[in-house]
Amino acid sequence: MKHLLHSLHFQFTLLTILAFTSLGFTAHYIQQQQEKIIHFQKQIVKNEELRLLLKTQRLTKTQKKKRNDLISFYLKQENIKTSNFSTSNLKQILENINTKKSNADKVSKFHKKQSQNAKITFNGLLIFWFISFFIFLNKKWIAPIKQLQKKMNQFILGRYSYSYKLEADNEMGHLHKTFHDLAQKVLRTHNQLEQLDQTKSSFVSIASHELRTPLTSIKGSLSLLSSGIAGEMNESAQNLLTIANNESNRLIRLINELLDLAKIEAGEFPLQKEWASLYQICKTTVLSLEGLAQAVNVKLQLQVPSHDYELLMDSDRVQQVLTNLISNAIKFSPEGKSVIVSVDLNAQGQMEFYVQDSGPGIAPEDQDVIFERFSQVSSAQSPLVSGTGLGLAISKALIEEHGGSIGVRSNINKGGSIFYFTLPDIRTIEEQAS
Amino acid sequence: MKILLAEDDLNIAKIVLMTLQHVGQHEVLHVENGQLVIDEIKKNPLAFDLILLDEMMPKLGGIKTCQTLLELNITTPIIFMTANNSPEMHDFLKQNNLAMITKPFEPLTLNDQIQEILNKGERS
Repeated sequence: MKHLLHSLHFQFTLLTILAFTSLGFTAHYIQQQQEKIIHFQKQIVKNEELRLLLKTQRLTKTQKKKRNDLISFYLKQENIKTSNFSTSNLKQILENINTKKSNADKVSKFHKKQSQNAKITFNGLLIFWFISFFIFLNKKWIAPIKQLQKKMNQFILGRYSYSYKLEADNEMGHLHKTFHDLAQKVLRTHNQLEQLDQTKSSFVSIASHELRTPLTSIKGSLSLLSSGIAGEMNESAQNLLTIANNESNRLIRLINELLDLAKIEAGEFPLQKEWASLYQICKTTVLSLEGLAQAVNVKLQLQVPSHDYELLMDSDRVQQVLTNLISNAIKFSPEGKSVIVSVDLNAQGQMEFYVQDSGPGIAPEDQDVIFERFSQVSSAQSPLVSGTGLGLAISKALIEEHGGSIGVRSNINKGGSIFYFTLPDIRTIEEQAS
Repeated sequence: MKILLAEDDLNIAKIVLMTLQHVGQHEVLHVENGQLVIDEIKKNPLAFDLILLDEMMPKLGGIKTCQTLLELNITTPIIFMTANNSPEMHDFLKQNNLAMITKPFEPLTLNDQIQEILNKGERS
């Protein structure tokens, strides 16, 4: 019962029934008054007719009959006993009609007044119910909806107040409660995710330390053994050591790249951006890879603009990307061929780096996939440096962190691929001087 | 060169010792935590030409040890040897003008790396 009284549907229905009943009663009353007015106005018309007939001297038989009917109607209406009047006393009746104000007239005016009052009441009631409905709608529906909307907007902005007071036990209250429960669920999930993210973050940092510590010992031991500090070794032992050394290096690269990627994804990889020379970064990177290129007999060519530019970048990270692309190009190029590294301004005024190899090319369906982690398309021509499958994923993340873009153009039939990336923030040396 | 090495992992310590002593011909004293570094320095602030600090150590970690040493106004260069590549670590190094050798390092080039850092004159 209590729930029923709180129910907005019930309240609304009750209000509507009351409104229609009261308006109905008033309308009915007005109708009754109108009927009475019509009735008495008919009497007035008849009295007038009688007055005219009484004034007329000679009457036909029909007229006489009508006059007598009207007289008896008049007497009945005026509550005059028929015995007090006779048809010979017509003058008295005429006088009566002329002088005395007709009851019908008076009663008609009374009902007109009543009808008028009832109309005013009807209008008043109509306005009253209209206002009541407006207040009801505003208080019970519009205001709570606005309040809920405010809560939702706050929630969107991440400012959801936890102080939840129990809303009314009705449809609107239930809606508020449903939203509150939903918000709580979202907040719980959000907190769980945040916690998970933190756990992941601390896992990354712990894993970083725990993996690198034993690797430091392994790599150190292998290096020292290979160097002969702990005594000379025969050729087979040296070969085995080389394998162990290379693989430990690969493991270190893999761990470093995995951790880098995890950090970039967690947004914990702040770039140390500074204005630095385009020429310098290209030259340093190409020089550092000369050895690798010579080892597999691949020519490395560098083409830079005649004027040097400065780029706003994290030099170490851009060098990491460039190294990754060039070493990939060397790995995939056949012996005796060239890898061309070139840099130029593109149509959008950004600096565009190209690394062109003479490899087998990349099928169109693989061209996007290769930028995803652990997705090496085909084995490299040279087993010199085995990849981790993370290089391009990291390069993509790093270039995007710089506000640039990275991609590949390749023709599987003609062979050869061009990897390119852009850096948006550039200035000429003259700009820097001014 | 006389070097004070703080490293709690004995395997890594052995490798660093071997590298510095046999490849670099340096004299090295190895301690296992930061407190022992402070004790050694308090005993004789000028006893060493270089301090190599691991970051994660029991009792007193590398960063706290380094802060204490800086408060003591010692002039001996400090180089961190750590696997911690976090932004916080980099910030700390940058603020105090310090250099770091990342683990895992290459033992055969460790001596050159140290010499290069010392030549650059970071934190001396």
